[in-house]
Amino acid sequence: MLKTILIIPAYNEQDSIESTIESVKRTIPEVDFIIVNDGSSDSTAEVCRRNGYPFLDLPVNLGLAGAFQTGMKYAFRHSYECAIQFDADGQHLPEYVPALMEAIEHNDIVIGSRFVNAHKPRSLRMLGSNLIEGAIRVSTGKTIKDPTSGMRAFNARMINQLAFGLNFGPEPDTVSYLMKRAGAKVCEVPVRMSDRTAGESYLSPWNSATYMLRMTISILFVQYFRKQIGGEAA
Amino acid sequence: MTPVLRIVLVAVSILTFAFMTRKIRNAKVRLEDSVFWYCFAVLLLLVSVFPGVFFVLAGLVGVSSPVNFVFLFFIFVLLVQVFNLSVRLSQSDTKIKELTQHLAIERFERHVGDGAVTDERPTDPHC
Repeated sequence: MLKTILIIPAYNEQDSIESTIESVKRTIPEVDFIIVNDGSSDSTAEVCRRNGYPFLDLPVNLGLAGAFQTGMKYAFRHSYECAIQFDADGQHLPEYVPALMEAIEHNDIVIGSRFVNAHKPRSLRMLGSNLIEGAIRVSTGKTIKDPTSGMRAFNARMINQLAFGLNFGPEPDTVSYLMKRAGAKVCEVPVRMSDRTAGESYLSPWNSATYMLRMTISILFVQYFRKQIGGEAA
Repeated sequence: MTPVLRIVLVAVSILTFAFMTRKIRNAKVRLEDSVFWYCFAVLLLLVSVFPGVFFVLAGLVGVSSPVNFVFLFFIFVLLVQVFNLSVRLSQSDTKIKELTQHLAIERFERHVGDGAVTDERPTDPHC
């Protein structure tokens, strides 16, 4: 079993962080975790302090990418061999973490996927997911059924890149770039996700549209001009 | 180029000069950043005092009205500056992000009394 850490970015998650962390501690007590409080304006930090949860407290809001990277830097500094991106809002279920940990021993990136066996429901959001899936297939020749899943595990080689690189946000375009330019071996592990228990989603129509535009440009265009990354595929 | 336009250009040039100088006097802007604006002011002055230069250039490029060439020229100059600013802003954002992340990590490590196992960065040139 690799030395593993869950990275849990939290922005204004005072209502859900406690139940999320308690279920993590109950289900997988052997796995370390670190919360990254992304300059929350509510009492997220207060909840963490009161319960004695380990958390990195960002004094200003950096956004998901910056918060996640902070966790990656921490993972690198403490020589973790596997880092797992995990949501604070209760969408991700800790029951599935061991499956990711097992799969990461033979892969560079493991994605907790909702659609390995199940079909995608028809919705606007899934249309976006399909478009990204298509873009990744065009640029890498591989199929990732659930590219927008936020539950991803990375091995030590990927942690090195994600911790210090610029433009390595925890998004599908990074996965695609790592597959193409770092020869990253990616696999999907079937997971279920629950609906968010509290808080609000980032996904307003405008945000979704700009997100899709950014992903498309990044996957289909920009990554052809980005540098090759060395290292052996897992 | 009409005399009125030339007067406007001279006025803008002098205003730019005065404004930038005052910012430096009051220590509101770095000297490095003012260089562009001084050059810009001098350029405006040149256009208004020696419009002939732009008549020749407009003829070379094939723009029938020299005034249009003057506009085009300054749009390009400003575009370059906006591009530079965009790059600088990106770099500033990155620096703030790095500082914030480092601060949070150091503070936590001090709090739990557990120093980093490694403080090195990977030797990969891309990082």
